[in-house]
Amino acid sequence: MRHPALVCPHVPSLLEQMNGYDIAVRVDRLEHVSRAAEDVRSAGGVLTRVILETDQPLSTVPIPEDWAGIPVALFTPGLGTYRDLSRQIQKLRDLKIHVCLPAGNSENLVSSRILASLGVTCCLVFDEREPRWAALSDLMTYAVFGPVPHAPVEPFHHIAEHYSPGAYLDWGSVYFDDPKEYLHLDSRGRAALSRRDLLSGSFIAEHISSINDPLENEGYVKGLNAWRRLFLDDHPCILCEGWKICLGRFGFNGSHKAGCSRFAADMLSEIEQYQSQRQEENPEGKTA
Amino acid sequence: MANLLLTTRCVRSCPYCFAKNEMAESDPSDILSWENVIYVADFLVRSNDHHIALLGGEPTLHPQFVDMTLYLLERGFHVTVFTSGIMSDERLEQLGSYLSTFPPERIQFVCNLNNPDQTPAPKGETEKVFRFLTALGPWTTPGFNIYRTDFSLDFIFDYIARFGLQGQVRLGLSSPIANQDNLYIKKEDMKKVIDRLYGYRNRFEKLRARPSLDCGFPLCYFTDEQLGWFYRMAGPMNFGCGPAIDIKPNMDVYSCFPLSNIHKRSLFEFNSIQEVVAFYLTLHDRIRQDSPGVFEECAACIFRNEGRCAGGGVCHSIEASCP
Repeated sequence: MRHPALVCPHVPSLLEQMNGYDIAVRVDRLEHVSRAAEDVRSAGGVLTRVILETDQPLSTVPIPEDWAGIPVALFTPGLGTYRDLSRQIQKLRDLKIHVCLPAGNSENLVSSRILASLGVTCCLVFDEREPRWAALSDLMTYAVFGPVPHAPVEPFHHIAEHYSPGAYLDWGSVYFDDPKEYLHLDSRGRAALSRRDLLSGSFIAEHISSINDPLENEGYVKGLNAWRRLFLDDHPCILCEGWKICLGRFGFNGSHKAGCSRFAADMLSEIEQYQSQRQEENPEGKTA
Repeated sequence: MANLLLTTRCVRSCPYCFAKNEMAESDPSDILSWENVIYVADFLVRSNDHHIALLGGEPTLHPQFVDMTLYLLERGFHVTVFTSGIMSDERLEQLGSYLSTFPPERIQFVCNLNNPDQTPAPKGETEKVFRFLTALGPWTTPGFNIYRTDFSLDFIFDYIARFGLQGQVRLGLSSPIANQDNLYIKKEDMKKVIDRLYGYRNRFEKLRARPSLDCGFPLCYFTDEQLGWFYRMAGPMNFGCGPAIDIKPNMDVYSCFPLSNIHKRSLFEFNSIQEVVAFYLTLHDRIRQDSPGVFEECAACIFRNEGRCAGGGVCHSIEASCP
């Protein structure tokens, strides 16, 4: 199998050991973005994304010109005022910045639609707060069936493009949270299956160099199949209509809510409709 | 071009207001949401229509007026804002800081002005209008609604010179609201209005200001000399009465303010602005079958039959057909 990309902190001594890996590098300061990208590249890594987390609203983040050519995922608590953001829209678009917003804040559901309609890719991050499901459902419909071209709203775009009726779909990769696609390293090179595992100190290897083929790592294989645990636990999510495209992700904090169940079921129905329409328009699956 | 109402609240209470019926029936808390702004923007883009007018009430009362206007500009629309010019200092400062960075070709204000002598305003209102015109004069076209036959335009010419307004005066005939009362120009007074307008020709010429006539003026009430002068000043004139298409914050849609209580629909029922226009044109045609125009002669008029004059506004036709 293809080795998952590595999500690393911006520690030059660590990055120097990552020659040949696909790397997403995590920084916590705006002014470190360019340097982190340079460090990954000069160490022989393949830069997939610079992940910047900020507690500033997007409208107050001064995006520098020297981010050109750097794929940035910007995690921000909110948009701020549109009038202040408006001066940065062109830059966000030109630099192809992915804006990641917490879905638990209702304003961000509107903000995502604003950004997407202006050509800025955005991504809703499901945290411990329960989103307004009806508003989320409206946004999902816009993301999938929006009448005019717009930028992707993740995870809906990913789900619409990758869903297959005969298979389960894990879309955590849009947040770097899918061990098939990403492993998370700490500054010592220890590997974890997710950011959450990393922060809780739950590692599958003492150093990433010990994982040549991830499928030979017991912890990794166990992590890949973590969703099966819900069946063993008789979790209510397994009976949910939307299970195939949720895998318990919307049932955050291990709980199952009526709202998320209805939402996931609606989403599944719309995605199937979307794929069916696409099939009708392009029966042989030809690409342009 | 569609008209999008940001809010139905207004700062004024004009005696001729042809939107008052709609404003009175609306929930004042009903203001345009971001979801609906985006919906309308997508709807117009899909209709290949890149011009939008923002109305109210007073559109600048919407707390996110500047944000939504900037958004529409970013979407590539040419934006026209119909305003009274009466707004808080804070809002005016926002307009100056954010919107005046765009050229008048992208954003334009039509400031509906009342003659301070003939339509007295509460204390301080005129000063507010002056502050607006001082800040945004070069982006602003003066608009004037005629609702009495002794109207005076002198103040508008003074404003054009004093504030550097755009050299065009948008002139509307105050229209009757279907099945409601408001002050408006009766059909028998239209000739007087046209003659009085023509009487201002020297002032228009002196300022090189173009008179721009809104809907409702009947072609037959102009003399050839008057038509020649209007043409020379402003180019081809339109004596039609097509649906304006007003969209409320809740996405209700109707032909125009005066017809707002007839055949209101939801924008969600249509796929394009062309469909909306076609729907209301059909409605206009039906009304015209019963009442071809404001005058009895309209029924046999060749100009009406050739589509060069609508025989006054449809709202006048409804009013004429009412007992």
